[in-house]
Amino acid sequence: MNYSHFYNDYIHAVYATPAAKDSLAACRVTERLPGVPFSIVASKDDIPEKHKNQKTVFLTATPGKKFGPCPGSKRHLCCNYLTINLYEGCPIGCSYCIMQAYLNFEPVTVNVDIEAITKELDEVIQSNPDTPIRIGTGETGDSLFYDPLFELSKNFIEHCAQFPNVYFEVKTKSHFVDHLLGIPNKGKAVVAFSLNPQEIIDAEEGIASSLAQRLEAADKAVKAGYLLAFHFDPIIRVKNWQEMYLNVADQLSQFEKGKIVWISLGTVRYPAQLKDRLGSRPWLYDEFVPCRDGKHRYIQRIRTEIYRSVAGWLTESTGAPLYMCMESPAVWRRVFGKISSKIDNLCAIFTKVHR
Amino acid sequence: MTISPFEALLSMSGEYDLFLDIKAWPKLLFENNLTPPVILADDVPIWGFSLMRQARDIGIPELPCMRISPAEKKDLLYIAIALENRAGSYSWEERKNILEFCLINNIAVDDAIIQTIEAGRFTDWQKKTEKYIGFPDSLKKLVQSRMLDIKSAEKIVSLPEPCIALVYEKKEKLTHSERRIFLEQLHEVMQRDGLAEKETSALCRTMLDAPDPVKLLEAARYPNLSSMQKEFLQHAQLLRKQGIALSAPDNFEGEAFFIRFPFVSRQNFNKKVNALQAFENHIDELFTLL
Repeated sequence: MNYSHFYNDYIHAVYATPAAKDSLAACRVTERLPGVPFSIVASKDDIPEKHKNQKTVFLTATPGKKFGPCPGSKRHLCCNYLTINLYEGCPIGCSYCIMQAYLNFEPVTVNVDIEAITKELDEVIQSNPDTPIRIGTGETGDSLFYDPLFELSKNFIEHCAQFPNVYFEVKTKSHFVDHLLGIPNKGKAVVAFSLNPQEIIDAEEGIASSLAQRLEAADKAVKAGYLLAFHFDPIIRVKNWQEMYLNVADQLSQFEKGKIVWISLGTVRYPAQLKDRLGSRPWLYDEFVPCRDGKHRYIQRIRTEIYRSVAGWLTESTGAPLYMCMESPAVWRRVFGKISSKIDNLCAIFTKVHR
Repeated sequence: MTISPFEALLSMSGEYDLFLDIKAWPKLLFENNLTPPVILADDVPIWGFSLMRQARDIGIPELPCMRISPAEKKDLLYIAIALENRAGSYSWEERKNILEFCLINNIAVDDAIIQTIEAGRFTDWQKKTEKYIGFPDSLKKLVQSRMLDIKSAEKIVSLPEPCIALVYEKKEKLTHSERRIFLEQLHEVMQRDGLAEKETSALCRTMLDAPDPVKLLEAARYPNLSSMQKEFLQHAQLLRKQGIALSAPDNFEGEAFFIRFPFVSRQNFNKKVNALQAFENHIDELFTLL
């Protein structure tokens, strides 16, 4: 990948705290983007106003909680996922992204203190030696968009590979996997792609890679020995959505059965107070109702219909375990006939990790 | 000193005539020269236009007046706003006048000016005022008359002017919050269905002519939900006739319906149980709502 050519368009300034300035990530960025100004600041607040945007990267090694359980959603079933806030913020610019509404005027933060994070991680892994543990970096930002530049995921993949019960997942809307392919010991590392039909990618997913690029990257990853996962989240009910999602589901049949460890589904949703900040996207004119966690979703009956259809197509094409992200027990029962804890092939995904 | 006639001053320069005639001064104050003085700088009135107009209208020939030293226009603006002394209660039309004065005279709209206009913290003052200036006249009228807040106005700015004018005309049909909801939903229906100006205006008129415009428009904005509510209501009415209350989870988000009924005797209890047994035929239809 030609770093300076690509990243010069997305990174106009780099700031680092004194503790992060000599990190490997900082060395990589100064070496690979020589033309981008690099400055030291005591904290994120000291970044000048003109650089408080998503074309600025802020490297920090400040102590603080960077690892923990996914916050989930009140009164909705949680998959007990553990998240590492490695990249906080994302320049991709998806229209539906709540994070974009919150973090648009914030530099993208990169937490470079890998040692501190792995230490926290080890404590949890050691307390749960026999429990399947899923850990990922795609909650607060795209796991791989900046990763060819900073190469931080590599550390976690290698570290987690020593634990047979740990699935370390990188989740992306990019196709930037080449820098991960040569890692010799991958353990149960999972390369995951958020997927949507190309029509939705074009309309809603900013500078994300195309569907074909993502699937090609998935193919490379699986051939290099990675496990795969796919996330259909958010599913958006546009005109001809059935045809579009069926087409994407069909394309997943190219992957060998058993290599896809999980597929998640989630219909588009937003907290009421952020509706205005999402602008005037056509999908917002559909019928949304407030749910028990305060977020607005499609009417339950409509969501159920969407999930049943998409889950049916995906089961047929992949046979992979499916789960829904932030859905109510009522929808679980209507789609799968039971809630997650009663579904055999979801035990590995939903087992609670003790902390 | 006193000044007269007002006509000359009133027509001489309207540059500082920024404020609406909000305050009505009692005639007695005029008659006894007890009103605040009209302020002049370089013979140009800086503040007191409202006083002059009121004096003219009630036939008062003279007013107290004070001349101040010539100063920068920015300082004179501060003086005018300070004397007007209505921080936090200026209308959007007055904000527009102040902003236009600043722009014409190359005066930076800084925090100090904004604080004299607004009582507390006011973010994006200039941006919001510029938005107001850009509104079509009918929307300005709605905002200026406090029938719609600026934030809601921003959202519905692309609604055709005849719709907004109609909402203004039929102001008594909607409360303040109903008006906001009505306009937002009308805008959403227009966007969703790609309605042209003529169609949107016709829809707006039909809705406003209905006895309950908000409810009718809500059904157009949420067709699935409203038909589900209608269907549920039919079931609920069947049971209500038997003295049994049927309720559904909010917005049909959940997995259980509830029934509740009082009973006063064994016979009464049996009657209700029989009614529920008969209702069992509708149960599958009911569950399609969830």
